[in-house]
Amino acid sequence: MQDVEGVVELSLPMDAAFNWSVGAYMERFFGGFKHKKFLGIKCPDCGKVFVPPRMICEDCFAETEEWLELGDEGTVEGYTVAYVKVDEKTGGLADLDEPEIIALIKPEGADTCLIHRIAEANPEDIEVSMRVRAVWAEEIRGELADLRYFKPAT
Amino acid sequence: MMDRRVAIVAYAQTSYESKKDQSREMMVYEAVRDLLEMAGISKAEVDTVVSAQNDYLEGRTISNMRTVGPLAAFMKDETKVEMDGAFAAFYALARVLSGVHDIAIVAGESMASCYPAYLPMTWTLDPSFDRPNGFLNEVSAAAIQAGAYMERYGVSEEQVAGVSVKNLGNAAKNPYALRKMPDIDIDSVMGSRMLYSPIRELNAYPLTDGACALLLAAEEKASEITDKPVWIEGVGNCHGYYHLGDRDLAGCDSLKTAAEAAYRMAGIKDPVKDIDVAEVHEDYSHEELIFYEALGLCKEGEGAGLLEEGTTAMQGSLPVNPSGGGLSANPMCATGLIRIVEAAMQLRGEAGEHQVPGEPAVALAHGQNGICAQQNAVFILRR
Repeated sequence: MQDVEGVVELSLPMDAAFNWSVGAYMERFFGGFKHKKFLGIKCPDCGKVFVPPRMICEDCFAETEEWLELGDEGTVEGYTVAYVKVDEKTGGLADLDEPEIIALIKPEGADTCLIHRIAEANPEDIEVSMRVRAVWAEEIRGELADLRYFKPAT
Repeated sequence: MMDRRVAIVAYAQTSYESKKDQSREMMVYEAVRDLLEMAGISKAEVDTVVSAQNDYLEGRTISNMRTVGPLAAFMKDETKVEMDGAFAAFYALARVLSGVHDIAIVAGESMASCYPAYLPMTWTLDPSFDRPNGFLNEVSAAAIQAGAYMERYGVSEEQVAGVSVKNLGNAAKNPYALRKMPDIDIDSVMGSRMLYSPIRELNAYPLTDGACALLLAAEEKASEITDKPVWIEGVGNCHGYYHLGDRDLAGCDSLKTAAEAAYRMAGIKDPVKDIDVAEVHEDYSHEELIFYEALGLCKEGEGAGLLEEGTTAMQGSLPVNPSGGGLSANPMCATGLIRIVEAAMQLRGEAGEHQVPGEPAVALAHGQNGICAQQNAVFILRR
């Protein structure tokens, strides 16, 4: 879009903090990080294993209850090499200093994928169906930041 | 079959250039004023108004409170959808079909020059995992989808670029289009700025300002307003999985289901034969290929072939996006509605320089919502 000059603008920031509870299932999922494991949950009707876990299977409209330990390895089901990122202030696409690999990763034993990044690898070496393993933070707290990235499993 | 026949009887679009020197209210007013002028009716004759706009794109809670005036909705039955305008058209159709209302205004609008570009769509993401991780946004998600589709069916980046070449070339003849590129070729797409591989700038929609409106009328009113009514013969609406990681990204099941419902209602047996022109809401070039397949215009994995054999070109047997589609202009909340308007213009023979040949009688229009087209609506129109 072309810029229009000489317009009187008002900046109206909306800095509003929403304090979501992650819910009992995501709490337990992050708890699994303490043991360096992904926890999945199985639909009692169709048997689909969801990760991240969720309380309802959308297909079956059924409540999920059966937890499964899935380890911390998986396969790459899709990926992109990011050259830009969304700028948190302007919302525009800002250049990254180094390209980053963002991937759809299906943990072993799950029927759905997580979206995360792959590091310790060159973009040209990434392939669909390659195996990757989670790399965990040195100090694990049972929270989102424990999962740092995935790397090729050799 | 529907109990009542409902027609599109008038339409209006603003240009899709930046409206930063104009207020949002005047942008909406301009579209609705032109709409009523085309129909030759006054505000008083309008029964109901359904708009498509989004609080996060406006920076204003319950954004339609402020647009009541420019929508010609003051002291009337009025509602809005926080979705694409094709869904507003869907609800307006239902209101007229109910028999309670006879004439409905549908309008969709947004101003990318005002909202923080790609941030609002990141706010649709799961707040416990995807959003705080920060890897996913509408462009990175589309890139993962493009890669999954291309990997599954062995489609090349050059083949996908063919969609941009077709649509942005078509847009050169559309006076409303924002991105007009008469000389575009595969090299210009492949040479454009890489965003998230394989998506480059010319594979992605341009940030756009604009508004679009159409007028629906029940049969008895339609004939009073116009001698060129465009009848809505079939509609379908389907919502797919929320989590990107749950979906088979190489296809679009929710569009397939929506299309099947619309075809059933309109009696479309063989979409390629029965439909003369289509306007689909692609935000990214690879999506158009996936949509060909989900709409049953070709078999799965054969979208690039359909494009390459020229079937969907302006002069082909089933032109798709003669207007230039979402790649040429994408004012969020209006884009799907623009597809319906453009399809109606084709059926009325009023598309000017981008009019397809052969006096089309049946058109398909498509709108979508959400990351990687989570929700889809399909309209079948007939003159």
